[in-house]
Amino acid sequence: MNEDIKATAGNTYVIETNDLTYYYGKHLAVDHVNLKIKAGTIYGFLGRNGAGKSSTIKMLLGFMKPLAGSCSVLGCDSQQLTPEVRQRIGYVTEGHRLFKWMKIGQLEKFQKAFFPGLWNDQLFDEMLAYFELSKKQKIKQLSNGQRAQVSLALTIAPNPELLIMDDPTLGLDVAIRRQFLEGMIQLIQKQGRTILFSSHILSDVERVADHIGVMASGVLRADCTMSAFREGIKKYRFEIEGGIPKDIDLPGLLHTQHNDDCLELVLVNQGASVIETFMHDHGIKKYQEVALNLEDQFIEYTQKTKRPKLFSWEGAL
Amino acid sequence: MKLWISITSGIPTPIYQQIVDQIGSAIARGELAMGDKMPAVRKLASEITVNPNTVAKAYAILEKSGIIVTRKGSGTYIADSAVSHVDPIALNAITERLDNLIAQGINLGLSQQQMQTIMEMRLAQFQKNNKDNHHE
Repeated sequence: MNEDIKATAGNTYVIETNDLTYYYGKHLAVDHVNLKIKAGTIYGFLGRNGAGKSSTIKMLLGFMKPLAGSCSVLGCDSQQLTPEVRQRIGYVTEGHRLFKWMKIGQLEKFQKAFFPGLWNDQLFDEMLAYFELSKKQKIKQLSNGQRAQVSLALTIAPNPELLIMDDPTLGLDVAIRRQFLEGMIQLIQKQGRTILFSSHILSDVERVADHIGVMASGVLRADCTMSAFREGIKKYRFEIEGGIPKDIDLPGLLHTQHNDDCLELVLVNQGASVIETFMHDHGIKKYQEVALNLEDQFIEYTQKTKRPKLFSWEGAL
Repeated sequence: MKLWISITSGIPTPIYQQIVDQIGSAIARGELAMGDKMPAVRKLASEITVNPNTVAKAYAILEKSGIIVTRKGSGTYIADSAVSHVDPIALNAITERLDNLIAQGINLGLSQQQMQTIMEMRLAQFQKNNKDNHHE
């Protein structure tokens, strides 16, 4: 394995939450979330709208106060973040709201003032050139995609140790989304950099994330490596000759679906022996594994189920 | 020699597996030969816009099955064994995958004769493609 990559994957947590909880009125939005993210990770934060991702991110950045539990970033409690710690964090949110009356060059000077000694002029200029943008252009005359590019350049230029992006590519075209992914890969190649980002475009997440977290109804339902998730969720289709078996109880069973002569089971983290035993017990002869992509797995996993928490092992690789 | 790896996200095959498969077939087609230097993990990760840990995982699998070797301070190379003789672990992995395919074939109701025919047709097709590539 590459030495540098090993070195960045140390044991320090860049993001840590302990039973982090938040309510909007009586609605439990974030439910005792325990999230731990190591340095060197690109963490893909997944969940349907309203699952609690943005609320978690806002508490991490100290914009909202937890109603129970706690959270910290870069070893500092989120409620006590000093300007010095904030300088080491980059934050990008959807929509990329920038001061519309400014030119790109003015915005650069404005932003740079917050990062004394950290701002990389050359990197900022290179990114603008790559995006074919000029410092003389006014923000209000830019397209949504160009505003996103400016926002990315402004966020990457101070070399943030921790980059947090809340659905940064919402509504952007495939070319600009790819530039965001490239920016993430470039940043993570630097020693000790860490990225947490949320997105609904799972094919993007699959490319760049090595860990994922899945939120559903405020609960962190999965927190594992990408490969553990990809390998762990499997769907099998059985041809049934007699009747459909009733009250199926298998280890790791997520849910079942059937019609008259076909039964489908979705299982988490089970080997071939479970399937063989099941087939033997019910006299089933034919089956096939249904190939699932990440999106299929996400949908299967976040569907309503009686078993709320099947994926939760720490540091599994 | 330039190594072309093309990653498709959003398909059932995990990305590390796509890298392993494509390097394997590049060797089988003769596009990569023993002693050829592999790109560094970080370089390949940047080129194909994939997490470096995913590339590292693919390299670890390739190294374990004797297809590539890492020489300290020098880099990663296509192993002699990848071309000249077959690594027993790699052979075992292939046999296991073949067994799985045979089981799936039987489950689909294919006869032994039908499966042999399919295997022969695929091999012939593979050799034909191989020849065509060398003529280009």
